[in-house]
Amino acid sequence: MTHAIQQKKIKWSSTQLTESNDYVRVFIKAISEYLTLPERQEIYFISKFFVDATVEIKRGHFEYAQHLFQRGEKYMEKVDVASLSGKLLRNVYTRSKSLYYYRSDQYQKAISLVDEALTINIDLEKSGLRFLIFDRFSQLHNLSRIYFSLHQTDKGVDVINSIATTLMTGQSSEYMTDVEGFLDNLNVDGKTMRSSFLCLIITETLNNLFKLSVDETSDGAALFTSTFYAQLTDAVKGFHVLTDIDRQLQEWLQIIELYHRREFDLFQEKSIAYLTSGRAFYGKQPNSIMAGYLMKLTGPLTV
Amino acid sequence: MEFKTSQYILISDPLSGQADDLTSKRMIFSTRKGMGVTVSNYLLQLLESRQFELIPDAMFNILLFHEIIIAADEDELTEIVMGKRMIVKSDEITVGVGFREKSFSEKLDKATSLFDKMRSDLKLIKLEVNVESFLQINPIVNALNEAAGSNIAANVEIQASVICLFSADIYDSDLKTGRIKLTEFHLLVTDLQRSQAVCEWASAFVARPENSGVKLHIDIIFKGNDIADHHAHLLMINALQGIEVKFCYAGNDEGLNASDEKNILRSLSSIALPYDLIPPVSRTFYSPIPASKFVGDDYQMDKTMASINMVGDEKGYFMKRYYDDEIVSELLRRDTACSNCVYMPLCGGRLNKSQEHALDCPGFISNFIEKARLKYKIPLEIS
Repeated sequence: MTHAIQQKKIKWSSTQLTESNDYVRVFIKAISEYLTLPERQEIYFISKFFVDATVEIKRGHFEYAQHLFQRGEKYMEKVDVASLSGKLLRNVYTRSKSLYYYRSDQYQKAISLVDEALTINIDLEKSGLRFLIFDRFSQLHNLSRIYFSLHQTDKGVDVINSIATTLMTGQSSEYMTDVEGFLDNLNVDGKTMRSSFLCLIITETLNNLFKLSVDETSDGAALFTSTFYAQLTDAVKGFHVLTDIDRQLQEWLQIIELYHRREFDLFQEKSIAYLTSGRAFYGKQPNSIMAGYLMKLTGPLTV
Repeated sequence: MEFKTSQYILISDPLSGQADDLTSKRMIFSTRKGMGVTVSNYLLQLLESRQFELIPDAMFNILLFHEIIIAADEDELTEIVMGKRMIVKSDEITVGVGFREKSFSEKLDKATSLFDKMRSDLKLIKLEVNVESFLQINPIVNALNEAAGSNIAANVEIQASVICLFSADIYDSDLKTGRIKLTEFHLLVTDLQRSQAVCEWASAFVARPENSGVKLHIDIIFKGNDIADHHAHLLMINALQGIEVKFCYAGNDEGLNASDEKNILRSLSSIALPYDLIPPVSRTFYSPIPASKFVGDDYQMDKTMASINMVGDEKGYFMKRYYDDEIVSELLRRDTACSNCVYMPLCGGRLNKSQEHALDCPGFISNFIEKARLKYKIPLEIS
């Protein structure tokens, strides 16, 4: 169960066609209503170059990735930019290419491509492909990583808070506008994607912030953790629990919140009870984060 | 958009049902991706008659992903060769040093001095101790300690990986290696009679706290049809936690007896062991070089080499090489049998073959379809 959830989590430039079965199914179904089969096959074919390129970037094969981009770009040139096909391709392209720029330390180029991708996303969502809102979450998640890399931690935290707020409450937030009906329109696949995406961004961000506070032992880093959590607390209050994972996440967040409210006695009691109960979700990452909090307070937990 | 079917595919016999029944399944194996997919005869017909527009979206995507359907205007050989060339250029360089106990220090000196000249490109030196006779572990450990002395440049990171045939000495040996950090320990088990002892030793090895940073690999080599007699212990080894176990056939790179191997495959089909059948798609190819090239200190490493396996005996040396200009043009001119071989993306190719082409090919190519069946848990023999 846990394993399946982990596999489903959306990664950078989620490979539209191969990485997540849920996503592929939803994607194919949605575009089938709008595009002819030759148009769809063309999209699948051209997208593959960009999807493959992201894989090669992650392996450090930049030259080959560049080659794959060039091949894909050549085929993409023949597709009308203003057509639905053109926009969908541009959507895949911008996210893959922004990763390329991000990994080759060209952060400004990466940011401007993320911006472009967000605009295309909103446009596509309005023309009926509502599930692409998940691409938007994913793009913003990438944007936050860029900010973290640029040591603009406050901005990174803002972006994450914005995504988390919209995901939890369904309400628009600083970076997530045009989200009307987001929660109402979620099907089973969408609910699952929402849960695992929430787990991903919350655990990843807390882990990052933890690392900051360990490396620099600065009050600044600790402050960010508190700021992140303070903003998250509001979102937790309006959290629409739709799946079992959501329920577990909510329960976990409520315990972590005690720490940030400085109710240390209660936090210690509840977190020890939680950690020794054998409960776990989303791998064991939330557990190790909770143990990390406890460590800050009392030193290592011996069970 | 015009598509075509890749030339680098292998198609199995029908896996069930009648050969001409459109619903019977066959496996298409893509050597470009090193992966297979089972499809119906009907779908295969669509592929062969290039009626791609009749293939449903999900299957079309799967076939694209496997690189079984590709663009009609793609020159496959060029794409594969150039792609490999670009990929290996950015890969880390590793050197494997195989040695006999006595010549180890000398070999390691030579290897480090070779790599010193191109220090900026060196990320990792991987030491592989691979001997033909039973070897004592302690001399190796001592040699590693000595080698960690001043003759190695400070910025060269060495991670030792020791391959050792199983011997009784291992039981009480201490794997402290001084300044060399031992990260991997490979145990090569060639004598299945010792399966039980290996199993006991491995459990003890992982239980020791000082070994917590060492990754233990156990490679179990089948020589013949002796699997069934020892399968209980083999299964126990396979079930050990925290150890990577690999089962492979002895006939590896050196050519092999295909019918003997078929017997092993038959035994394996009834025992649930994770036999290592299909290798990952190769990024390099092997090219034999004369031993004389390594005599003396004047041998110049150049960046076209990915790895040298310096097993120094009369057999000569072989090395993995990058796809340099010479190799690329030879392949693209189709001057070599590899240029037209469907296995090329998978095996990487091995130029300078003898007239008996197949003998020089890597072992995994023999009985390939049988192995693929085993891998995908498809009955081995279809009458």
